[in-house]
Amino acid sequence: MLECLGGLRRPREGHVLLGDADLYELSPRERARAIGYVPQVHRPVFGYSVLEVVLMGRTPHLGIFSSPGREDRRIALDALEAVGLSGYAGRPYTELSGGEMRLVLIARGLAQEARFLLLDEPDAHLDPRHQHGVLSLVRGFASRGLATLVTTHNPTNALLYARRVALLQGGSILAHGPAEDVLTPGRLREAYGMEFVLLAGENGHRALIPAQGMLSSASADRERGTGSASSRASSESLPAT
Amino acid sequence: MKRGTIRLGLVLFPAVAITASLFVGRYPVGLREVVGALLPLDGVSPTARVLILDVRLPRALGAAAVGASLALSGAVFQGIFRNPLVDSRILGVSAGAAFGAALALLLGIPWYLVDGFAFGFGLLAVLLVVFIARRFGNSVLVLVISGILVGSLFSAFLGLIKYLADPLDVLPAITYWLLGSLSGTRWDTVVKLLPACVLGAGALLLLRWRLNVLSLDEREAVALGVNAARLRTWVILAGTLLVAAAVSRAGMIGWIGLITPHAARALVGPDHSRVIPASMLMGAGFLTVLDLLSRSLMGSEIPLGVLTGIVGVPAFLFLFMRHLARGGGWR
Repeated sequence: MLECLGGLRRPREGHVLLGDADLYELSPRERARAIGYVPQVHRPVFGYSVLEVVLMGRTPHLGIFSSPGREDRRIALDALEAVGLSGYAGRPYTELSGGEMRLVLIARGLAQEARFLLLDEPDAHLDPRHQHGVLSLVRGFASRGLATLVTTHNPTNALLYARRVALLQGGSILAHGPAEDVLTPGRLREAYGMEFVLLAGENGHRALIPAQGMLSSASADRERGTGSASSRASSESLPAT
Repeated sequence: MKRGTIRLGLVLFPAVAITASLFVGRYPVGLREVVGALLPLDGVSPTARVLILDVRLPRALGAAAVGASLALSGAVFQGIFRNPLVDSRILGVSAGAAFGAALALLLGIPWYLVDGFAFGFGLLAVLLVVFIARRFGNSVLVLVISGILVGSLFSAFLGLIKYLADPLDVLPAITYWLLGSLSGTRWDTVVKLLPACVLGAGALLLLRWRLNVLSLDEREAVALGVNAARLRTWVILAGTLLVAAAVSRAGMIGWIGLITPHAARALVGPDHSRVIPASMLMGAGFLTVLDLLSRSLMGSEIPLGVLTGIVGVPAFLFLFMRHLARGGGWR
């Protein structure tokens, strides 16, 4: 779905509209000027420097035969600063940690200077500290007027960082709206087929965690313990914020 | 090393190699003769003048052009296929082009059609390789194996052509040309090389920065606003044009295209805006030096393809080991 919205995978039916225009009628260049897409991390074959990777975000603003100039470099360096990687420009991208690579890709999305930024599971494979780092960064961009769309497998992250949430299951939207309205234990049970509880702390701290056992085989799980339930649920459905 | 020093060295390397080629050979010439022939001044024997201006100079320039073409095509093929272990030979493009050129020689048609046939069959080879590799997951290994398969197929066709060729004149010509040689290179050879080299290299030099984006995951390149499929097609066309020109004029010369881009990256980093010109200049220098060695090491000429193989195989082994040691797998 994120790829459909990003103009990367033509939907089998229906249209994606950007303003009045069909997204798939636009040239790749026009589309990339409007929509930035931050993919999941994978290692490129060549060890480009961090700055070179971020500069690639300038592609839709450059002619086919031109290379990035001084202004593009400034924009790229600003984007690196915005994600907190100012000193990283000259380092080889391939030698960074997973969290740092993700930040570089986000910087590349910023350097694209698009109106929308789509991020494909920016919190995946990160420890809680780096999850917070990335998601609060994205939230900061959103509060400064950049429209951002993030997918996640983690309902708590959606609850904590998103303003509006769409809960997806099996290719359709179960519910969408303000995060607190959508991410209720009842809706999550519908999406994941298992019980959730909403924990609320004194200062408005909230978390959604699996209650024990799966609905379909609750009794069997009670005997075996609850270990396998959450991993199965997260690999089967894709909630999005 | 400073960037400026490296840049100067890259420009000087082919220039020095070409200049050195004018001096070296069985007929000894001194500085006076070379300067005298180039300027041109009086007091140079006609033999020396002809040797320097009409034999050694075009041959050195031809070697430089062929080396630059092969290295450049290797750099772009490695870039767009995201595979550091391929070049025109491993992808089967050279064998396809060689088959096309040999077929044209057998038919006895004009030189530009020889190049045209080489280009057509080279293109057919690379498209076959891409098609096969796509069907089997497109990993580093699958692409290499598809290239070897397609290359072997065209080599077999080539064997058929040799079998059919007249053993008195056409067969020796094809055989010797295939081994890779610049021995017959004169000014007309350089002139025939020029259009394809200028066109192919010009296009790739203009696109050099975009090759970075193209070397990413396909969908990522599209997300960055590049019409990846179309751009890749153009780059393949330009790379194949270079290979076809090189193969038509100088036969199958391997390894230059594989090794040179790695040497270039070691010097200037992975950014294609620098790798492309650096590969060109280094390829030109390498092949000029190897050609110089091929005609001066022994009494008779060593075929260039033989010499590049002797140098290239250990170099490939080294690259391969490093690829594995750095955790680069076959994926």
